[in-house]
Amino acid sequence: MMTRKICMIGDFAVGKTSLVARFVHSTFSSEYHSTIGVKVDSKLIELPSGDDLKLILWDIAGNDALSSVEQTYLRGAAGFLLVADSTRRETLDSAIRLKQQTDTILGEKPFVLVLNKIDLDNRYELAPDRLQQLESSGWTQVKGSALSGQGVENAFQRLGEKMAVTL
Amino acid sequence: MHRKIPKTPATDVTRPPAPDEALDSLKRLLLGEEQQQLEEINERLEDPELRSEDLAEVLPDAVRLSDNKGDELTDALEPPVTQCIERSIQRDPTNFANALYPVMGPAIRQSISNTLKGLVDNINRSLEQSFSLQGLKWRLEARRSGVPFAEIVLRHTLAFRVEQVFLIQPGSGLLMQHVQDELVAKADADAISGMLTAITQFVKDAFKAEENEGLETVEMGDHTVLLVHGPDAYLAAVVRGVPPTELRRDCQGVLENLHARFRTRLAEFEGDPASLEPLVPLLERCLQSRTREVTRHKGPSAAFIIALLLMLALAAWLGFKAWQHHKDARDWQNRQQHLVQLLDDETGVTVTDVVYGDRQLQIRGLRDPLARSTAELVNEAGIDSDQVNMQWRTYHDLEPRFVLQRARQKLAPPGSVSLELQDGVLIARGYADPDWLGRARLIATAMSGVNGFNDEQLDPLDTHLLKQVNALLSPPPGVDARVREKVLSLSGNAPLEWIQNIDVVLEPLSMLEGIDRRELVSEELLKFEQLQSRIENTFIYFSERAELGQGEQHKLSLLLPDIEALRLLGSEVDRAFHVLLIGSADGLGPAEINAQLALGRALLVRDYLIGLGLPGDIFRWQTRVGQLPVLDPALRRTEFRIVPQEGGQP
Repeated sequence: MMTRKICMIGDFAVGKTSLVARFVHSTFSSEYHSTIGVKVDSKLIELPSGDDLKLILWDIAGNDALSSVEQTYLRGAAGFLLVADSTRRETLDSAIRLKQQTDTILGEKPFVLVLNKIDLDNRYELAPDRLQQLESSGWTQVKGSALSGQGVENAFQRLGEKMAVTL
Repeated sequence: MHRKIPKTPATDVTRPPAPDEALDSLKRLLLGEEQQQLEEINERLEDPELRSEDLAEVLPDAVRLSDNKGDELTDALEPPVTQCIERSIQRDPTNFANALYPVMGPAIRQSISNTLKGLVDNINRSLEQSFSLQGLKWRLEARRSGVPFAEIVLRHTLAFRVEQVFLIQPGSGLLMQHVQDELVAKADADAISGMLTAITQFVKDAFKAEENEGLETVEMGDHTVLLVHGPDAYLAAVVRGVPPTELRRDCQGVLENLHARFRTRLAEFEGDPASLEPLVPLLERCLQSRTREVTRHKGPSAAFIIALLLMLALAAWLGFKAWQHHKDARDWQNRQQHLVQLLDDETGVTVTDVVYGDRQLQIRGLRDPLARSTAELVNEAGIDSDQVNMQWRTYHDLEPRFVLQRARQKLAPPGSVSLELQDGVLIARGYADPDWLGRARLIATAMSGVNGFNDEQLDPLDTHLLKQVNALLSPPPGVDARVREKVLSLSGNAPLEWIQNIDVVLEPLSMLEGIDRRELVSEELLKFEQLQSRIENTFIYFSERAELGQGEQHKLSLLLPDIEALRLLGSEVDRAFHVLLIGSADGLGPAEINAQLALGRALLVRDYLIGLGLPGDIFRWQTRVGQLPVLDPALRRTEFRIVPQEGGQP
């Protein structure tokens, strides 16, 4: 069975930890975020080929830029989930910046953009043309809600499948 | 050893040598011997056969030397040798079995012996620790923490134990391999290796460490994590207890060995732990442990503990027995008092003397024979009959129910009599034979507890029977009924029908022994006799001749209804009769004529009455003539007699 390290990247309070909490039963307390800035969990998914893939999730404490230690946390990642808050337009800008920063550290790696908090649709702020533009440049997007669970499994599954292509 | 000697090429002297050939010739002249040796070496290197021969010559020495250097040769030979053996067994297991046969038996025996020895050691140790104070303490700890006792014993008797070993990819923190002790609970090793890596990276970043520096030890409680770093993998050994210094060295050796043998696999690891399975045996070398001697004489010995426990058990048993004895004694006392109380409360029993004893209770007193059985009371008090000795003297208790019961026993009243005691007076109700009543009056008044005998509501049997007769028969006013000595006497007049029903009506009175009805006359019979008397006192007079006197016809017509009524009553009272007509004549004159006259007078009456409607067959007749020859008109008559028919009533 293959294992792959993936990172959760996104601005402060976009819901990365909640997405992970939805996806896995955590071994470690989330206090690690405030101490060393990361929390690691693992989760098994099944690929369309029938093979199992174990995802090692590095949930990196959020900010609009990665600190030096956070950059070291990226090392060896085979992909990442880029998370933005659909009710805060500026978090999409952060996501784009973080993506550029990640690319310089890791090189081009498979990723999926998660537009979180889609359950708060009355506060939706993201510009459709902007998203269209990102999609046309190859950004896979998944709308999700850590609160309702909508799209969460799908986001991790899509990322797993994208990484499987490079196995 | 066979060696090929290279041939020296022959020199051609017929033509001038080429420049190369010239050089070669020069070399041969100058370096002839060395050249030849060089060529020989070349030939040997290129010829596999020769090279094998050379290698075979040095191989045993080389293996010996390599063995002295350490495990490298063994490690190197292990995979191919294993592979060879596996293949050989797959092809034909017999060869291998045959080869192993001589060593299998001893090996198995030794293995069993070692296992048994280990088992005995374990049992000894467990027993020792089970019976020591420390063992008890550990048992408490096991119970409190929910960890098995064996695990607790191990924790305390182990100097250290390597519980888990993680082999981790330095940058990504991906787990490359993981081995762990069987006793350790499984955890998410992938997440742990990630977090360990993150912590290492965090520490390195926080303290601006050099690239070749890293976190080496993490300590927490009785756990230590030894981190040993290598270029393509780092090793984290989780140790319980205090790891000895040589443990780090051993781990370092294992990591170096891994890098030496599996460098490529480690460097090219991309997340598939299966590709590093062959590393497991090497990693397991790090799973070391060491026990420490448990200080034996610190606490009391097992024998002391056992003796103490035995003494405690004995003391507890003695205490229990004493308590039980005390309880039994108290219980016995209570039961004795309970019995005495029960006897005191019982009517007809009077306790006069009690002696309480440890084993037997002695009681003396008075007891009415009619009182409840004292054995029942003993049983009710929960005392065995052989635990009590009772001596009772008989007396008569004046308790009303006893007096009454005794009266019943003595008087033996018939079922028709009920007895009751009211204020000392015995009251008898119902009916009884006078003999019984007379006896009862005598006995009752002589009984203790009976102050008087009241039989007002008790009828003598004859009175009772008469009441019953009157109630059943309702005698008419003209009838007088009496009962004497169970015989009913009836007198007076009564309707015939009532008289005829007497037997049927009185049939239920079985105590009635006879009915005297001689004095009882039916009204119908009385009437019959009255009518008979009237008819017989009627005389029909005639003239001198056989002719009816004046007014005599009227008398005959008056007689007709009486005769008819008599006939009717006669059939009712069962008296069939004839009407005898006696014709008379005086004695004056010739006797023959007088006889004819008398007959004529009787027949005349008969004919006259037939003429009035009476049947002829009821009449009989006869004549009577006066004996004296004197005129006597009173004898010129016909008179009537009612006579019974033959076989009928007179």
